[in-house]
Amino acid sequence: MKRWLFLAALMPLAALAVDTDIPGFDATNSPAENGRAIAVEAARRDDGFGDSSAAMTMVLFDGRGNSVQRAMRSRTLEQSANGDRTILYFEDPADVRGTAFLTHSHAKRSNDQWLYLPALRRVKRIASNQRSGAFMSSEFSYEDLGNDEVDKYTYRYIGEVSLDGVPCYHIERTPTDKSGYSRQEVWIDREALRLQQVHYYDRRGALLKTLAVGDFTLHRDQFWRPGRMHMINVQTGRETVLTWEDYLFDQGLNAREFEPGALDDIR
Amino acid sequence: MNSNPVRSTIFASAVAAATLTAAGNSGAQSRWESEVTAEARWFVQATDDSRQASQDQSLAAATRWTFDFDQRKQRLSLALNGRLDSQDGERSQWDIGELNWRYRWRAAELSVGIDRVYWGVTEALQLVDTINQTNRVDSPDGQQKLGQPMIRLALQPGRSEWEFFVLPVFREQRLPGSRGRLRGPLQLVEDAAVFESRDERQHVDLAARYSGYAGSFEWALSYFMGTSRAPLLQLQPTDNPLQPPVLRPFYYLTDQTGLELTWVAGSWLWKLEAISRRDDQQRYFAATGGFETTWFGVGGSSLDLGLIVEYQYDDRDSNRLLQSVSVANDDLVLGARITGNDFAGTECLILYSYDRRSNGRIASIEASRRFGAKWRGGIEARFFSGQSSIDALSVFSNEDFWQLELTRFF
Repeated sequence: MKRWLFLAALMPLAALAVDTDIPGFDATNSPAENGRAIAVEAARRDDGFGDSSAAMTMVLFDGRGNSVQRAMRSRTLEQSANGDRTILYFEDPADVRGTAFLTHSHAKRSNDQWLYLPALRRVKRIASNQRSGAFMSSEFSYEDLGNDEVDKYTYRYIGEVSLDGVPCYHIERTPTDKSGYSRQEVWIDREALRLQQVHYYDRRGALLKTLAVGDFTLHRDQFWRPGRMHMINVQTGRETVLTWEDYLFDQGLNAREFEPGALDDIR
Repeated sequence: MNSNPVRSTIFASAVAAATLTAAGNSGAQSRWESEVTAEARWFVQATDDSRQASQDQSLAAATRWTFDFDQRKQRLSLALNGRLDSQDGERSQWDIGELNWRYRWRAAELSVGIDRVYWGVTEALQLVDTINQTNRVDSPDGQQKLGQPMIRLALQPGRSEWEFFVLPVFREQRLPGSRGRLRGPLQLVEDAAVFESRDERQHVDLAARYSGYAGSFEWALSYFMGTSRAPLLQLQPTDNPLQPPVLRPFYYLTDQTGLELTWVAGSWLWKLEAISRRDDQQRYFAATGGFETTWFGVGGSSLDLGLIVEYQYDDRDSNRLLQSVSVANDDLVLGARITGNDFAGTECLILYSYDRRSNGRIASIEASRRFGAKWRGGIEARFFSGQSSIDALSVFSNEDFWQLELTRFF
């Protein structure tokens, strides 16, 4: 009996002991250090994917029973020295097909973004606060879809919780750059350090949106990618379900295809 | 349709067809997209010219086909557009916007054939843009362009790009005919263009552009040498002294050095376009610049509101300016862009431009929304007022119009 109690008391410590595979994560460290350590390790495990592409379908719900569908494709090129480069190009609805959105993410400063308008064959630079704008009228903002560079946030490790039976690290992160949010709470699973859930708080500090991520698939035995993202705007009742399919890796995409001058022949 | 561009691209098409045959189906992908637009315009004022009407309807269609092959190293593209207008024969026209073959090899790209190329950064006035001729019958805003036969070589070492153009065929600007509106009180003599170059439409024009970006700056330097895309409109008396004089387009030889700058400062986007250019008599300078900024979720709604402020300058004297098709010499442009972020993708752009010297003013509104996944409907209105006869805008003071359009995408 006593022995059992002793084991039970040891349980939290045992759980922490498992996490030695996260460098810099230690019970003696500050919550800021531990939160960041998890983010750094999650990013490290995604290193080396090279390039990837995927088909995206988005269903928008207005909270009054109406819904519409959008289709697009994404291409991402990993950049070792700096942030990744991503192109989203729209396929449906028909009036925006051919429109492309290019992002060069940066670890330490605002992203560079360009929009390609096929009707005029024109590439337009976009101001970086476009990040907080709605992505194709959805509940996702451009910021939500941008790459989560580690240095874009400061962190605070809150603790370990179970999210629908999945053991997760619960972390608060605060944007260091211009953002539409005052802070975010994120849940990252212990098993593979995948982002499972996010709560977004608006600039006044009130809960604005919740994101649930799921249907993960493993690629090249190393890279986890989500199949489904469900964003709910708790203030308006509007929802967006984003599904990802046809993930392809290492297609030999080169940096030149991710230059603004090449946007007109991306499709 | 001028036959010259067609002839000049036969070579390109032959090369393309040969390559296509040789290419097989390695990673080949073809896309075909089309749209058809029905449009109706109502003019607020009647004119003195009995040939002109107060309303017109037209049907426009555009189609574009692209074929990528050889691991996307090569591409063929074809884009056609045309319009049938109930009033103006000059507005009933068609054009080959693209008919070209492109080959990409590492950081170099070569394309041969008819193509469209856009230069510039500002919203209200396209000052630097000069490769393609303007199609003013499709829209008076000067944003519609005609396909230009060209050989283009682009070199893209990293974050910059060098482009070289050989433009072997000149195309005239399309302007409204005698029965058309938005041409002013004087009529343009059709098919009577005069050229400074003895080679006329066969004068070979050359252009180059260097562009790049670093951090929050973006720049481009361009040079063009050849026949001016924008004509001077010269008064020409008619044989009958009782008839008013007509206008004859004069295409002079020019050289133009252009500068484009963009600077991103937080949520502000600063823009500048400037040119130094020679017409048939003098060298002149013109510039336009300003800023654009956007507020998201205005007042807790889903609306985004963009503000555009631009100033336009041209140092030519008013006599020269009067001969230009479109001119902005000391003008201030204020604009608002509203994005609904709703299912219908509702958008609205309001522009107001004011000539500080002559008090000439233009107000325009363009609004559109989607209907289902395949339709988009829009409304457009333009109002002109000019209080001085020396202002180019005043020739349009009787041309206020409303326009409705509905597009079906295929």
